[in-house]
Amino acid sequence: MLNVNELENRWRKYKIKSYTPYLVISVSLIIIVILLSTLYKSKENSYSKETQTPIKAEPLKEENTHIKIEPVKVEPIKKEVIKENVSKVKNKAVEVIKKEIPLQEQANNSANAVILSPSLNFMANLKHSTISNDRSYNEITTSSKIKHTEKRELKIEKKADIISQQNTPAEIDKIEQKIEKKDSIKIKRQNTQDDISHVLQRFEKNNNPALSLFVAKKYYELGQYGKSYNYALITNEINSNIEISWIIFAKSLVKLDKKKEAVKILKSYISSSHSNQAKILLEDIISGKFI
Amino acid sequence: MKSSIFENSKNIFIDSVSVRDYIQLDRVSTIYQSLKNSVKKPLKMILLYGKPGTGKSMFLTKLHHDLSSSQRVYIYQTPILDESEFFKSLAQDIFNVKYQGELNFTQFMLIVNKDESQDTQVPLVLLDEAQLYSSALMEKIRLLSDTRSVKFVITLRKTEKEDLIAKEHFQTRIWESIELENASATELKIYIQKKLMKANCFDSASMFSQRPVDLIYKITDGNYRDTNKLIYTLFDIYLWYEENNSSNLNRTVVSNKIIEMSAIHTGLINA
Repeated sequence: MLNVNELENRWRKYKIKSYTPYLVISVSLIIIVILLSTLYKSKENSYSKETQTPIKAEPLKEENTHIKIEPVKVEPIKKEVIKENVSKVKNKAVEVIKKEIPLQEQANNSANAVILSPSLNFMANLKHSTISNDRSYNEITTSSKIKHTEKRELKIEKKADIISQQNTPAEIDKIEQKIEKKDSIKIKRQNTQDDISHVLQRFEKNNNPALSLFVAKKYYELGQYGKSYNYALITNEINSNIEISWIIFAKSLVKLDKKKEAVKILKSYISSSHSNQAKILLEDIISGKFI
Repeated sequence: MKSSIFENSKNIFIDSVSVRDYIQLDRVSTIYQSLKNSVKKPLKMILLYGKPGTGKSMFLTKLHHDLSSSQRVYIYQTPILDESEFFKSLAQDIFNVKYQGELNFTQFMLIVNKDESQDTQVPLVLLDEAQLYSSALMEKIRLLSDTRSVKFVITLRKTEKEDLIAKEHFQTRIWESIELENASATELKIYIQKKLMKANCFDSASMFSQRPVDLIYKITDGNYRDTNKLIYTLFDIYLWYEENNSSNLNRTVVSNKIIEMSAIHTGLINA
């Protein structure tokens, strides 16, 4: 007689038994995968540590050597310098500066075997930074001008490079001279002449003393002292209270070898206006500083 | 009370050797036909061998059934292990001589030689489970077949031991040997369905689709005897569930669970 209930229990046990190998295999596979992944991660971490440590260690070592070496090598130099400075400051500040250099040289000679000196580049950098911070507007404009000239020089250099590839050195020199001449003539003369002619046209229309003064200044800068004298005189005739016009007038007379007349005019102007600039110029002319 | 389809189906798979239970499969039919042809040939001995449950006994029974109307055929399904009894049975069945006392091989040969029957056809003796006979008796059976007065068809279980016997006693003398094998999965399906349909159990037959048959084949390895045992138990379990009003009983296809339960019960699965 069949006992189906018991048979069902046996069947359940059999099924569990039959599934156990698959379960064991799957569980073991999962464990293996987990282990492998953890191992891989740990290896990755260790590898990253290994790769990172030398990178970190190297600069530290270098820094340490610097720290160790610097005081040993530099300290005696500093002490000597300080001692010498103290003794010299008592006498003369100028002598100290003169004697510091040989002392440093002596120190360097004494440490000829290992030349390790503190880098003072940071001082230069600091100076540059402070100077750059304290720059005035004028300085910035001049620097911009310098940049322009630098650019021009660069362009010329580039041109010269191109030419040098194609021509002989003699030809290159000629071409460079031509370029320099052309650039200087064109820029300076054309601009001032244009300006002066343009201003003169305007002056003829309205007789503005500011315009005649501008022309006088420009001629003075160009070294055409006769013309500068004339336009300064015209300005003074229109308006006799313009200080700079009188000064250019006097300077032009000096340049035209009429020193006495210049002194007379300045004295008369000073008596009427009490101009400080005129006084300074008068002193310079008399003392011979302004020729 | 109306009998269940499972009850009828169960009874079909009772393990018995009956000609009525013989199922004609293509491969089996071919083998059977070759056996019949071999019997007609002037051979002294035919060996039918195979693993237990491959249908050797069924073949022998079928052959006896088919040939008994046309010639003298004697089947010994249970081996007669005593030599005297064996020869006395042969003397009585073949030569109609009822011998009193001990009958040895020499005395039996005298009976054979005295046979005055007018039948030119050599009597056919079918010996099942011949591996159970002693070597001495098998040697005398061989000598008897050499006289051409009796033709033997013997079946042997194909095991290592029986192979050895076959080699020692029959290898040089047997003129024809036929091996029977387990069924394939397809053959097993046909076997089960034909067996059920032969008994008009069509509903049960339709339950055996290829999937459950594959599982049965996996468990029984296509052995007919094991399959019969398994399916008998299977329908027994179905019957139990039916009687206990189990609502989960699937009647469209045989459940794998019940197949495995049957296999556990019959010992085909070691649970």
